[in-house]
Formats: sequence, structure tokens, C-alpha cells
Amino acid sequence: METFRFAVTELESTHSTNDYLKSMDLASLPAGFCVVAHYQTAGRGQRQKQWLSLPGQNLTCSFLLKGLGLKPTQQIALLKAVSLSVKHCVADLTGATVRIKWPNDIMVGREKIAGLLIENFIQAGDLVSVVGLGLNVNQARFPAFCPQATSLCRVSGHHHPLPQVLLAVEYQLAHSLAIMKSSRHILDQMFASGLYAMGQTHEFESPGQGLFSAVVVGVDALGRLLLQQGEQIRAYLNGEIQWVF
Amino acid sequence: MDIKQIQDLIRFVAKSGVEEVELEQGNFKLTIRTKSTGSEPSPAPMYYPQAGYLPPLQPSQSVTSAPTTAAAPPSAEMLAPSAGTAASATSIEIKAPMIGTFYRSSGPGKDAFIKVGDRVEKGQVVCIIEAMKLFNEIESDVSGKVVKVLADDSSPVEYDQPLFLVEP
Repeated sequence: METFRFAVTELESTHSTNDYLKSMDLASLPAGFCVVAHYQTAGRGQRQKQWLSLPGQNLTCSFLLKGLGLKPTQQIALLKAVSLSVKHCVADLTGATVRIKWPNDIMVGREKIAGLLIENFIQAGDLVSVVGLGLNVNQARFPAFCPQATSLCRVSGHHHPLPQVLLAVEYQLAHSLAIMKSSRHILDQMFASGLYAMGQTHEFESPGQGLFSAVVVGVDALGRLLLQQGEQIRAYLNGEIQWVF
Repeated sequence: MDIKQIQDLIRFVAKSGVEEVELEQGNFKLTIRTKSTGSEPSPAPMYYPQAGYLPPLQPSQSVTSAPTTAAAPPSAEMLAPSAGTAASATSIEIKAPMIGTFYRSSGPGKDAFIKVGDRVEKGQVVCIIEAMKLFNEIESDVSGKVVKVLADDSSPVEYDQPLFLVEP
């Protein structure tokens, strides 16, 4: 396996590790550069959705990934590799069955344990990615308004030192990126088999169809979710569809 | 009827769109036919203003249109749209490098990256395209003035779909 060196910068507190990293000169930073914050004051989920995290209890970090030889149109491979690395990391640390809820949440059972926010830039034809990860580690209780959240500690029943969790993430990230480089086919298979509700009927909602049930059958080459209703299989972009719990 | 009057009459008939006009005054008879289907210029009509007698114009000599007068209006009409296309031919489209949702600003309630009339520089972020929660800041590959925004904010865009029109 190709070694992937991670250089880590630790911050006591920052607005958002993604924003902090993005404000740096990405061209001069090495691939694998990582910013970790003990406390994110304004951690972001996708497009300004807030990511709630208590000080010092969870892992909030951002990785700079570049030079992976990915074209802008191939970035879905990156989402797959990163999702798989977090999935494997959580599974290793807890022994639980972990699933990837399309497109970017990591789930244990029906509860969310981690979320990803990937922001890409195209610099001189190369895809430069800032990969933000919010992983609930030692937070034991969650506010009433987000009941579908869990943490490593809740799943495993014990405390997890944050540096150890970060090392596990880095190890799995390097591993997944190596798989992505060597075999896109294996990456696709691993991702498909790790999908939340794969092969199962689930409730969804879309502006066009309202509330409906469909079977999750995979993702297509563009990363769209494939849902089967009767004989028909349709591909959905996120934003066109919502999971209903 | 003198030559001047005949010429005027021919022009009038050509402009009017009437296919055929017959004129009879005593022993003077004049027929002017226009080729409604013919688009190629016919030979210039010939007149024989011999005393008291003017032979009818032969079909081959009939008037389609007076080249100077009839040709002018369509070409004037052609100019306006062709001037329009000439302008857009020099403009450059910034296209979507991927499928996804097109966002004109970095977040809800924030200012658009670029607006019509703005000057955009090569490498400047012009929009975000989000697909499967992968957020892509799209940079302009040209410098120039933004003349048109071709996609709606928060709407899905296809690969290679034009997003902005920029005049370099």
C-alpha cells in the first residue's frame, strides 16, 4: 500500500476546519495536510446546515487531498473512498455494522455517527479537495432535536481517545485512496455493498412524486441513487429526493 | 407612357408582390410579370420604347425584383439579427464541468459570485456546482464581462451546459 503522509495541525477552536483550511494557500500545502479542531464554533454540514459538536468530545477535521489523478467528472470516486474509510474506521473501533447513507452520512443502525462535507477546486486541471469530517466520538447525549445521532462511545460503550481515532481515520483513508487508485471496480463494489438500505424498500419523498416507497438498488456512474419502483429503475440526484424516516 | 413611367411601374409591381400586371392604352400594351418563385436574379428587363409600340415583356425578361430596391429591405432585416449573433459569436460560454445543482452564491442569503455586467477574471470563482454533496467551486477559464447568466440558481444543470456568457 502506498504510504500517504498526513501532516496535522491542531487548533483549539475554529469556525470550521473546512473554512480554515480553504483560507490557506492550498497550492503550497502538501497532500494529506490535516486540520483538527478541538472545538468547532460553526461547524458546517452540507450548505450551511450546522454540525453540532461539543468541545473536545468529537473529531472535527479537514483533509487536503490532491494529486490523485482525478478529473472533475470522476470525483464521485473520491466521495466513495472517503465514505468507505470512515465506515471502516467506525466498524474497526466499535465492531458494529456500519452503512453509508447516500450521499454522505455514515450510519450505525438508523442513527447517524458521522457526516462528510467535501469541497472541491480545480487547480490547473487537478482536482483539489478539502474533505471535512465530523465524527461523533465521546459525546454521550444528544439534544432532543437530533435524536437520530449516535457516537463511537455510545455504540462501543467506552471512551475513545481522539488521537487514536484520528490515526484510525488516516489509516483507513490511505487504504481507501489506494483502492481507488488501483481498482475503481472494487471501490464501486465495496461502496454499493456498504450502502444503507441496499436491496431494501425505503420511504422517500420528492417534489415530483411526493411520498413513495422504492427499493435501493445502488448508485450509477454519476453517483446518483438508483431506486426501483415496480419494473422501473430511476436515478436521482440528491436534492431531487429525501429519505423519509 | 414614357420610359420613366414604365420604370416606375415596374418598380411598383416588383415591390407590390403582384405576379402580373397588364396595361392597355389604345395600341400600347404592357405586361409585367414577376417570378414569384424565382430567387435567382433574372436578366435586367429590356424595354423597346419604339414609337407607339412596346412589345410585351417575355417571361424570360419578366421582372422578379428590381435588384437595388427589392434586395435592400431583406438585407436590412438580416442585419439586425446577424449583428446579434455576431456579438454572441465573440462571447464565450462558461460551461458546467459536471452534472449537479448550480448555486450562484456560497450560501443562502449571500451575494452572488458574479452578476451581469461584472468583470470576471480567469481563475475567479463564478459558482458552485453540488453533486451528491460534493461541492465544487467552479472557476472561470476566461476573463471578460459577464453578459448573461444562463442557468437558474439552485437548479439542476447537465454536464457541459452553458452557465454564463462572457464577452472577452
